[in-house]
Amino acid sequence: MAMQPIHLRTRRRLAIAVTTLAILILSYLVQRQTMQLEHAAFLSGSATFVCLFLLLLIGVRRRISFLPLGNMSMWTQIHIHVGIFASAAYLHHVPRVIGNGFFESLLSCLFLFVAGSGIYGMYISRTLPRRLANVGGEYRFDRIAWTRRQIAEMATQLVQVGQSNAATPVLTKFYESTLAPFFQRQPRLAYIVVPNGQYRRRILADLKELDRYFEQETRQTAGKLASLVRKRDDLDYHFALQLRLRCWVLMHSLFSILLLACSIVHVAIVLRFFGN
Amino acid sequence: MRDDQTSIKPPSSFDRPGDAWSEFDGTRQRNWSSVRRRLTFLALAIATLVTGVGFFVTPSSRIFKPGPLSKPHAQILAGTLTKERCGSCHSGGMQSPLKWLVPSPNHEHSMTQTDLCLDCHKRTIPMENARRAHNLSRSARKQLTAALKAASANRVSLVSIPKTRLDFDNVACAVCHREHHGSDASLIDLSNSQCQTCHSQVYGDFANSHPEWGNWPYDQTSEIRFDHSTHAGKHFPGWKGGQSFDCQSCHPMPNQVGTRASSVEDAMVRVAPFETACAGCHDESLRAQLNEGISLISLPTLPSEATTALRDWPESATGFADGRVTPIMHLLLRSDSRLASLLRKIRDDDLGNLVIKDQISNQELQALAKGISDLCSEIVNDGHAAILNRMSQSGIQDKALHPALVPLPTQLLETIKSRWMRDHSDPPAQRSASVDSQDLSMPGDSLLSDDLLAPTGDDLLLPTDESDDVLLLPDDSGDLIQLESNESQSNDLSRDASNATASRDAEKQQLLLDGWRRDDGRLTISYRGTQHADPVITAFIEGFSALPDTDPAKRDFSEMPLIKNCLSCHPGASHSPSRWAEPTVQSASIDSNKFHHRPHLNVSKLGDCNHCHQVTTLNDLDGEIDFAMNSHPDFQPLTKSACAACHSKEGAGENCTQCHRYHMTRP
Repeated sequence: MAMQPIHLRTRRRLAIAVTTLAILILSYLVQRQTMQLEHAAFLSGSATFVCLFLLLLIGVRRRISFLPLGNMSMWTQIHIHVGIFASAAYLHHVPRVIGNGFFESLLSCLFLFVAGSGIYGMYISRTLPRRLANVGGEYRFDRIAWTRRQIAEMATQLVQVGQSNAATPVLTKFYESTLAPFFQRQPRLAYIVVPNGQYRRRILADLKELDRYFEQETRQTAGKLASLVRKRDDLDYHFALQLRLRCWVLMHSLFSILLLACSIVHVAIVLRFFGN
Repeated sequence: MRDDQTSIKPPSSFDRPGDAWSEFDGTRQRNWSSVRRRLTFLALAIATLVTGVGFFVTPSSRIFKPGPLSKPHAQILAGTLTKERCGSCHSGGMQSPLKWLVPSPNHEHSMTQTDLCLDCHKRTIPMENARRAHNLSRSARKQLTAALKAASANRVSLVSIPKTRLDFDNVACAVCHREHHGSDASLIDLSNSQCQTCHSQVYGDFANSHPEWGNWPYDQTSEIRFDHSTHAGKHFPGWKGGQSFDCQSCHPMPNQVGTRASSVEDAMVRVAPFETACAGCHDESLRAQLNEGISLISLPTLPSEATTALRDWPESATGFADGRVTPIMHLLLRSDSRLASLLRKIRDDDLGNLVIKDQISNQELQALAKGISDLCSEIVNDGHAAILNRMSQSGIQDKALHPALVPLPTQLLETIKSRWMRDHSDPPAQRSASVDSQDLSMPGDSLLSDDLLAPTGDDLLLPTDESDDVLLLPDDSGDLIQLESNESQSNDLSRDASNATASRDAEKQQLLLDGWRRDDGRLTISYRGTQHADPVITAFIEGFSALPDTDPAKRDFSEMPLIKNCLSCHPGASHSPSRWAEPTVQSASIDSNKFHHRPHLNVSKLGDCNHCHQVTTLNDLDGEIDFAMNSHPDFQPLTKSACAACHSKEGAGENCTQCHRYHMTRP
């Protein structure tokens, strides 16, 4: 009889319980060593340092996906809980949250930034996929620029091949003044930072406003253009959110590397300067 | 028109995730993975550059700083360079950072952090035991542990504290003193659990778990023996109009006696000086004792059979065997081994105790007479050196006696032979039994020669040609004392006497009688002290302290009334090294306990000394106080409950380090 997989919620509760227990054990050991007049900073510092290596393993796992090392979801869960434990170990280790000297304050700032970005990553990795799913469509990040060009070409083609009638100049003029810049340019930085449907709604409202001047055929062309406006906006929305996720991963991993490098220097200094 | 009505066909070319470039319909574009890689390298380069610039522009003292130093260390190291500052405590701090990762070939020989600590603190911590727990040897620690267990025999402690794994014979300073925790952090701030992690006997709260004091604080050795009970209950009520027994008369606050504040920041003066605390009652009796003086040389009377061989033995010292060999003279004589055995036969060094049954022959008495004569000759010839040499042979160091001989004029010694031991075959000269005051004045001593001993003619004791005082007449028999002076003296004594002159006379008389003097009538050279803590008498006591208690000379010396009186208050002076006075301040006790009076005196009820230190009433004392058994039997035992009333966790605190100090011994 095959073993039933553990439910996600149960797994999460189990992981939280194990992490809490590990933190309590560490806290007890630090207190005990302090009471025993030993250097508890060695214990908490070693725990933090080892955790930094464990946290970096997720990047290794991502790069060697061909080995049967468990799925990425499990690795992510381990990464999150090890990160929580490392934060607790760090707080046990440092006498003050921000260090005193230049190097120590750099080290503590790096740790706090990486820990903070990890918490932010937990938030966006849980909210952004849902927001993207709500929008609809599936766009690979590397193809978004090509897709954007495709949409722009489709829009141009629609206007150029449209039937000639009395309302055609009105649509052409609106395309040239409003729609062409929208389709051909990159999304604005403000939109990338805070993506919203305000511009899209304004364009669609203006297009709708012209409906009363159009005949049936031109109105169909305008409807196709409105469809492309929505598609382009959805594409930009995907781009903004996917870029946010990727930038977060980039910053998180980049500062993790810096943190690890500084930690190694810190350990070397400690081992050199510590002595009885 | 619905959104799904517009469909976009996938690109014709094939692209894979992770590729650096993609090409769609002839358009080549960079993928995210490539962008990310470039951004990563760029960011790392920028980070390295920023860090490098940061290292360059940041003052070297602030690059590596795990935390601010404590205030004392920060103040000391404030003016030093970074390298020296770190290197003061970390041997690695003196090395180049490039060498940090390379193990030193002589690493095991390099200085440890504790070595560097002790390099500065060697004056306050005994180096030989610096690394041992409590600076005590293993045996001493075992004794203390046994004592603690005995004191806590009936107590069951429910406190469980994890035990340390420290090596108690190699405890580093950093075990307790943690640096880099800020200027306000205390280097001696340890919790009760941290203190007790090394102890096999652990305690919970102070009120219920800590052992009673026992005899503390009255078990401390006191250098001055003072009977508080008798003074409080007997002497003071009846003294000079019933003045009350005020503790602060003898134990004032430091500012009341002008003691340096730095040395008494948190302590009381243990005992005020003699002049302040004791002289009011004891000065007169002390002066009476001082009048007796101590003899350096005193010629005994020996039978003529023993002295016939000596042509210069004084006639006045010839007769029945009588007189004492003084303790100092005993030491001077016994440096001669033949005389040492002879002196042992003389009971109490008193020749008057010789009876027929004593196996001392005339031959031995002749040897004694010759020994004394040789001693006098040696002293006449060599002066102080002869005395110091002979005393040294008897076990007293030169430097101990040197202060006693400084005021002894060599002229006084040089005239012994001429005054006492003149050859009887010589033509008889006019001999006078005199106390030679002339020799008291050193050449060039203008004070004595020009002023006080000047022939003013009003000195009662200075004989004059016209004097008709029979007591002062020169007398060849030597029975009467004559004071000689080279100076001419006037004789208008009674006529010009006035109160001022009388006072001056008294001072002169005292000067003549005090100090070293030669008495030609008694054939002695003796010293009469002038005041409390007289340097000559003090030096003799300290000199004799080097001798064992069983030494008959020391025993006789200690039994002399003057010396006995000294030692009655200063018992520690009779044992080498002599201890005369209490430490100026009560800054430390002999064990791990520490107590500061000052913060306690701020509490109103504790301002009354009797609140804690209750003097035993005379009725409670059973007979005479035995100071030998208990240092302060004249006080009621101090109970722990008196302290526990305030010292609780919520009150004045019950931290171990409030009352105990770790470093028990000092260099």
